[in-house]
Amino acid sequence: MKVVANSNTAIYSVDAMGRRITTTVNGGTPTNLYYSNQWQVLEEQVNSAMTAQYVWSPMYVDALVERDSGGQRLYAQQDANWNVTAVVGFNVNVWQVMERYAYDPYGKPSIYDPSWNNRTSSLFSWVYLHQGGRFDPTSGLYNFRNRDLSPTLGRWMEQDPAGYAAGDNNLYGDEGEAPTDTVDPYGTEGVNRVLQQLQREDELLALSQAERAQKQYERNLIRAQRLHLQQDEVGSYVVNALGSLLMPSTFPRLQGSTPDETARIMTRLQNQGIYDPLLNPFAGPEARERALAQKLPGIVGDVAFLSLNVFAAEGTITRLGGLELFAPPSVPTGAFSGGYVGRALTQAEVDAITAEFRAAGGVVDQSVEAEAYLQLRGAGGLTLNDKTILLPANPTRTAVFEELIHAGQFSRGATIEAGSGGVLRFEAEAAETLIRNRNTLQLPRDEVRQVIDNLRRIRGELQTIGLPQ
Amino acid sequence: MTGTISDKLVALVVEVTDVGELFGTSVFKDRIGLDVRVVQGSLAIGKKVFLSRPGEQEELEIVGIEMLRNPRDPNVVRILCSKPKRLTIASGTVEGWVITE
Repeated sequence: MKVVANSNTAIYSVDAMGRRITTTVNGGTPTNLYYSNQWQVLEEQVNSAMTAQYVWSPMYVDALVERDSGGQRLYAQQDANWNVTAVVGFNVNVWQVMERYAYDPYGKPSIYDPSWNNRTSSLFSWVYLHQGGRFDPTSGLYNFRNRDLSPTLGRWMEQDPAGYAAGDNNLYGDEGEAPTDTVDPYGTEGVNRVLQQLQREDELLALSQAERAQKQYERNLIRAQRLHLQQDEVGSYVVNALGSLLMPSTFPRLQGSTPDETARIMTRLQNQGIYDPLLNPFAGPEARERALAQKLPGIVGDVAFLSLNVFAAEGTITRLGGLELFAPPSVPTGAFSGGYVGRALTQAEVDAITAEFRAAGGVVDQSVEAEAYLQLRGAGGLTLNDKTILLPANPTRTAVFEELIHAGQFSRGATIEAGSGGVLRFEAEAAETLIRNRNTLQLPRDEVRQVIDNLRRIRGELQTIGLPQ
Repeated sequence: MTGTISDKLVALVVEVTDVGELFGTSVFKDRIGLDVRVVQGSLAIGKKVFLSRPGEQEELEIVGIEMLRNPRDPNVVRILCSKPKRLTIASGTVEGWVITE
């Protein structure tokens, strides 16, 4: 492919995939380009010698980190639309702006020195400019992989390889004629950056709910293990930090729970905004500093967690962080049980799963008070009879199905016999049903694993009290 | 003489929670939570029982049984009953109260 412009001639050759692999200007020595699988230039060579290397960010396909060339490293600065606005290099013993760039909407570049004085061309042969695209000084075109963009014409030089997929009849139109908030790194599909960012954030939020819960749980598990291991230390610290507010005798309340169970309730409280490992609602900044100074990061929040349970149990607090805390005169240690960590269902998903149950006259209570009660009981859901289920606002899929199974047990006449281990048998039966029907119920694998662990615990308890498992 | 083995419910109340008071806008309205240890017989939804202690008694209905195991003592189960109208029973750990059929 040959381009003649302003008495300069550039000849390009492309490989079978359409990647421009050599550029020869005015009959000179060809520059060879080597690409990543993302069609990013990684290296330029002339006469088999490296002349430039590029490092790209995983953030975006045309997000450039830096270029090494001729012993000089230049870091690219890009704006929100990935336009390179400046390059920063090491000069006179200090990192500083070496060159600046500005553009019209379609990417026609203007080049400036660090003090915004015009330059006719780049002193650094810098070619990555508008939206991170590779600018060819000879042709005056940007190469965005599948097509070349003319910043002066404000249009592509080739027809859209995607045909009429853009939804209009202009096969040369650039980014829906909205290049200031749209990018098209492949020359095939303008993507509205603002919308894309919103979508990404939505996805991130959706993902992060589950991921965050899992990460919080993992961190809380470590924290809970430390709490259990260092209970004396924590107890002493609490007494010091909270003084007469706390009775040391209240600490045995936690001793019946396992770190796993503690971590679960910590995570739930964290998601409710009640518990924050770095924020102690009881102790002041001084205590926090002291904790940090003692290299016990998070311990102050853990103190708050302990305190919350203790104070709620004692009835000395009823409200925290805008949430009402409902506590009976004592919180049994058994409250730390039940509930699954997993993806939180949307209300629509909960409604869909429970539709049949509700249509048959069942009540699914997801009120604030129902959730508060569940927190108090340490449960991810609770069944009271064949017609009444309590669920948190965003339960896991497994929790919803478990409660529906329990409601079914009641409708078949479940009774609790003397010496039968309370509800253990029904819990075991529900867990077995969940595991057996995990595919039909589309239960997430990580939640199924928790059901299996739960079943093991239940069988262990049945064995402990001498009942058949 | 004929001996009989009764299967009538006898359960000791170990803890009381006034869930109707604490969570009155939920399904717990007008309910009381009783943590009971079943000594004899069985708990079932809809069963009419007497909550009593020496000199006091009132008939209640079991309207709910929490399907939640109690790791402290699996034989202790929380039941929900209609709230007593005449009896006064303090929340918290209790002794002397029984549930009978």
